[in-house]
Amino acid sequence: MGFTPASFEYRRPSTLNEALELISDLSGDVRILAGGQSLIPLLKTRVASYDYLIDINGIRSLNYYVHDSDGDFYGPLYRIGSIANNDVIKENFPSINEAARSVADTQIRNMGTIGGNISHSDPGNDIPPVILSLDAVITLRSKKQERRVHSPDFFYGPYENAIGPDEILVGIEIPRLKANTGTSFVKFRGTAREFSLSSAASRITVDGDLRVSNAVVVLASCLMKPTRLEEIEAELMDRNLSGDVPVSSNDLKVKEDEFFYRSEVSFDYLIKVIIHTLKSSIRSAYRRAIKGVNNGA
Amino acid sequence: MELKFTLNGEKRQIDVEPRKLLIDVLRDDFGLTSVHSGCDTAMCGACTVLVDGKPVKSCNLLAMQVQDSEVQTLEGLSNEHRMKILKKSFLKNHGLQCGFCTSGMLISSFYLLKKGRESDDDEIREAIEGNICRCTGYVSIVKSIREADDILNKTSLEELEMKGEGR
Amino acid sequence: MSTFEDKVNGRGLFIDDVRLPDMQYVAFFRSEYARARVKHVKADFTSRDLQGIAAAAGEGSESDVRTPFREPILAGDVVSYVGQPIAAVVGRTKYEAEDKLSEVEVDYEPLEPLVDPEGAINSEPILPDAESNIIAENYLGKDFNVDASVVVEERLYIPRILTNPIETRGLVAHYDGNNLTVWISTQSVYSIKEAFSRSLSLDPDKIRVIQVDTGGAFGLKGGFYPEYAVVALISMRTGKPMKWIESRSEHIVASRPGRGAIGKIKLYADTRGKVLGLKGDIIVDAGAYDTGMGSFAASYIAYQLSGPYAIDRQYIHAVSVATNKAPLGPYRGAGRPEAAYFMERMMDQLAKRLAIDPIDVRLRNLSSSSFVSPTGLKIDPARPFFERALREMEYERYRGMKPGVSFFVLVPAASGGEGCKITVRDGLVHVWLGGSTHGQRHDLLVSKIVSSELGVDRGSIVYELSDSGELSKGIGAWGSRTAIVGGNAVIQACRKLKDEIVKEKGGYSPSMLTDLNKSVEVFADFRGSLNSFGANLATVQINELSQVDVLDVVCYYDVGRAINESVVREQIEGGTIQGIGQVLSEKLAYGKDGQVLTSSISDAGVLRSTDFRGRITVKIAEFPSDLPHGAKGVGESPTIGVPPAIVSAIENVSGVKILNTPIDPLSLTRRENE
Ligand SMILES: Cc1cc2nc3c(=O)[nH]c(=O)nc-3n(C[C@H](O)[C@H](O)[C@H](O)COP(=O)(O)OP(=O)(O)OC[C@H]3O[C@@H](n4cnc5c(N)ncnc54)[C@H](O)[C@@H]3O)c2cc1C
Ligand code: FES
Ligand code: FES
Repeated sequence: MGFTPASFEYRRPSTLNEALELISDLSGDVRILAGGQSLIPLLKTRVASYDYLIDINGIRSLNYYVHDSDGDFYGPLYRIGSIANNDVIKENFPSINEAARSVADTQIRNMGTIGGNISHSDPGNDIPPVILSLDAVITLRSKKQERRVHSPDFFYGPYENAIGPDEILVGIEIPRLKANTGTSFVKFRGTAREFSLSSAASRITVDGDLRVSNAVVVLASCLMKPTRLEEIEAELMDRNLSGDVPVSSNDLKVKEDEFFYRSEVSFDYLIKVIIHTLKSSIRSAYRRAIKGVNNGA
Repeated sequence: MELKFTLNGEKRQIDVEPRKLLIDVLRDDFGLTSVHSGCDTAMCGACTVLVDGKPVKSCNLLAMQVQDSEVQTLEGLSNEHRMKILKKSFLKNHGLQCGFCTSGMLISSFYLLKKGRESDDDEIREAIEGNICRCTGYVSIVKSIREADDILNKTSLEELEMKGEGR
Repeated sequence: MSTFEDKVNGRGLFIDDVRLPDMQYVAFFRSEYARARVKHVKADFTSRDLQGIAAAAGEGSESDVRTPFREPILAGDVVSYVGQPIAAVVGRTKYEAEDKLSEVEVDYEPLEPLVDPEGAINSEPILPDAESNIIAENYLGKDFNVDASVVVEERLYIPRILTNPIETRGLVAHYDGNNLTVWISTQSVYSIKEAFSRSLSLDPDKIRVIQVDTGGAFGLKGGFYPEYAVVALISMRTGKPMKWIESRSEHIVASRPGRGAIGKIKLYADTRGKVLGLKGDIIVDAGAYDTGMGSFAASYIAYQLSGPYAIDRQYIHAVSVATNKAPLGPYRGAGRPEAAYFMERMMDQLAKRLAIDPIDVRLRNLSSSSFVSPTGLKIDPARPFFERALREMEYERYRGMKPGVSFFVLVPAASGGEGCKITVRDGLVHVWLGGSTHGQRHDLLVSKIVSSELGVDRGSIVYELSDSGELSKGIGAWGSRTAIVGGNAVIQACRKLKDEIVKEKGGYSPSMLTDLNKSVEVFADFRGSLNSFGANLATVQINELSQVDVLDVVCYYDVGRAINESVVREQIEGGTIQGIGQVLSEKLAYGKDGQVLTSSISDAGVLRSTDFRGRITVKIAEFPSDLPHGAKGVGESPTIGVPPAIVSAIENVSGVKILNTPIDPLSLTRRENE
């Protein structure tokens, strides 16, 4: 009870093509193994078992991070710990840095990969809401084709997403931010809790008068999938947010069946926590956005 | 299946069942019993080892995942100056009671101290967030790491380099 | 034993490190239902092959368990809790053993489980041969009528809490055809040995129990479990050494949690806050079988309910009830924290009702002379201690922060005494103690006493882990007893050794030990009562999301005489965090169907390094006992005193009445919404 995985066949390809061949040709239950931080706990408790695991850790070409004028490019094997410790990312995309730093603990971050965190699509995963808030593009490849999926089309629900059975997530692109844009990720984790109750990722752009000219606000963890809150985004437009952030539970137009409710706390409390995380994330993104104006002008 | 890796500085090659977890290979096949198991959900950190210099939970890795990597356990770190200072400080400040979490704590704090600059108490607490201790309440552990950190930061970089551990 | 140096070097010998030639691994198939008839089982070892009863052992097991409530080592026709062992399998590796689990077949016919202890009192019995679900019932004190101006009545509740040492349970058993040798992670080799003998009907002389390095216990490892008997029996059947290491998932469902108590308490008082009488019901959720602790707990809580207060009239109904959950065991404090929590909460409620300072209410009920309660609890003069505690804890200084204050009496499980053996060999003094260390630094206790008694250098004293093959009689380490009775036993053993040397050689000097070859063994009986007082002060801050930040915890505990001050401090710090956990997060949660909802060690609420960043201030009061070394108990003080102080502070700061733990943050937000 709880110690050891059941048997499976193990493959360790050293090239992406080899991996794509395997995933399309092997019959039975086939799984990709990246950092294993979500997969192995399932195997150990024998909640899940597979005929084949394809370990992609040997494919060196999938582990990269590139920052250039078009944006940021991540290989799926880039470790969450590497993101957390990367100063370029921290400087340019504070929300990615914040999300990475809030994943589990040092040890798990050192193994867990950005690709795995997105592919796993647990509502409690921290990278997905940020990816969505930044309009990322996710590249999926199979033996036959490669396709680019925009983040709003990627997440379907708990543990479900656009990755097909013979596909591997091979890259994540984050477009460059417009000038005077701030980003932020905030999550709320109760005392001694492993997973968060609620998390929020924001991207706010301001004009020369420090008014919001574009707002993206994503709520996650308490929802089936990371979701943009368009009513709240609209509410923020053209406002100066230096004072209070005008978000209240009335603006939260989330339908009951969109909630992913994993905790024993009451619904009323959850709403309170949600509003708090949204406000903190928006406030912090706004502050970062106006810094650009104040410094640049 | 053949696994090749470097373990505590030595090149190793063994045949392992692919489903075998790293912790079991270290304990059963190599007798490295500093590596402890305290949970089955990758939460307690008693099994922490270094893979390519970074702490990971060896209960949550297939041994095959360290193919071509370098693994270090507490046994293999015993000659490191930083680890010696840490151990002394844990003994002096009672950073252990039952001692079951200790190897994992030492490895997580060793990694923290590698940064080569002083850490504040919050950083220390965050560095051991993935290591649960049920006995000490963390107070004496934080104190032990704090003192080791102070000692190491007083020791100049040159001295460390002379000991062959500079960066 | 391995020293602390060994441990920081990764060279401890914990139970999973024990390896014998040809050793095999046992794994258990456990019930998936809280209550069901078992119609069919197919496995290597089932209740048809291995029969027996898991004998009670450890703290609270003094009285005999009544037959219908005894736990079979493998479930027979019925299963009574999720996680109950039904069958066992064996493999050459743990992987192979777990593979075999997937081949076990069990057919169940699910039955309606009883999960709520209050409901279970009058429901049909869950166990086939029992007449009711009442495992034990007692009325303590004497019924009374009193003319009181106020009556405060509340229902208070502490859920079950897992002990969760980082090393789980485990043992290796080897039967060689004649003798059974057991290596085990334990608080007492003696309770384990005796329980093996009773469970397996084996001659105690044929059993040797050896403690290995024990990675924390907190009450868990004083007990005897069905799994232990099964592992030994399988070794007896096969002749091979067998190992079982509990997984954390098994720990959560099938080890014995503590607490799980309801207190329905009534205080009768005058308008100045003097309590004229105490009535109440203590209901303990004992789980499906009685392990000793189950039947003991309710009365034990009732016995010490009034704590340090001099309350002349008391009448308490104590009942332990069987439910379809894992059997109850002791968790650090074992009855003491429940009693203190109930009483301290009630004192605060009384203060609130009368709008009197809670400190004054307490003072009003403390006596300046000794007091014997109607339930038989004997206490020393409490008032002077409390007054001093307020000064020592600097109550006035914290006053502006609305601190919570608690006051309690620690009743250690000292009775019965302890054994000790000293062997002088090759210039070294080897010491075995009846109680088994599991983190409390018995080594330092022993070396300090032995060096001062025998005048030898600490370097030549070797503290040995317990071994029933060395020291023949002992009790165990629990209930804050080792410093008291263990320390006393070491002194007695030293003195006996000296006396014998004097008899043989006409005198004693430490140098005589260098080429001596000699052993002495004592059992130092102890029958007195050695209660000691303790007080806590706590301050908290509550953020906009009603999350509680514990800022300061101040402890002022009477330890008799601190044998080693830093060890005392560490014990208190570690226990303080457990106390904070009890208030903020720790809980073993069950569904209405008796399924265990808690899924991991984190989910059980064990605090991490980042969950508490406040300050713990330890002040030691030394009022030596009559024992030669003056010691009193301390190990459990923080888990007794810290929770009520913190809850009180939270109540003061939030203005919300709190009766149950852990605290639901929502309950603290209600006020502003209303
Ligand atoms: C104790 C604990 C606490 C945790 N806390 C957090 C937390 O706070 N926040 C958080 O976000 N996460 C948390 N996690 C989860 C974990 O950090 C991530 O889910 C993990 O990083 C996933 O990445 P991985 O590389 O380990 O994925 P794996 O476990 O290897 O894979 C996860 C899933 O994704 C699939 N997959 C992986 N890579 C690819 C790919 N390139 N293409 C297609 N499919 C792929 C796998 O087949 C598998 O189904 C926690 C995990 C544990 C054990
Ligand atoms: S055993 Fe690896 S984290 Fe607990
Ligand atoms: S010292 Fe026992 S778990 Fe940390």
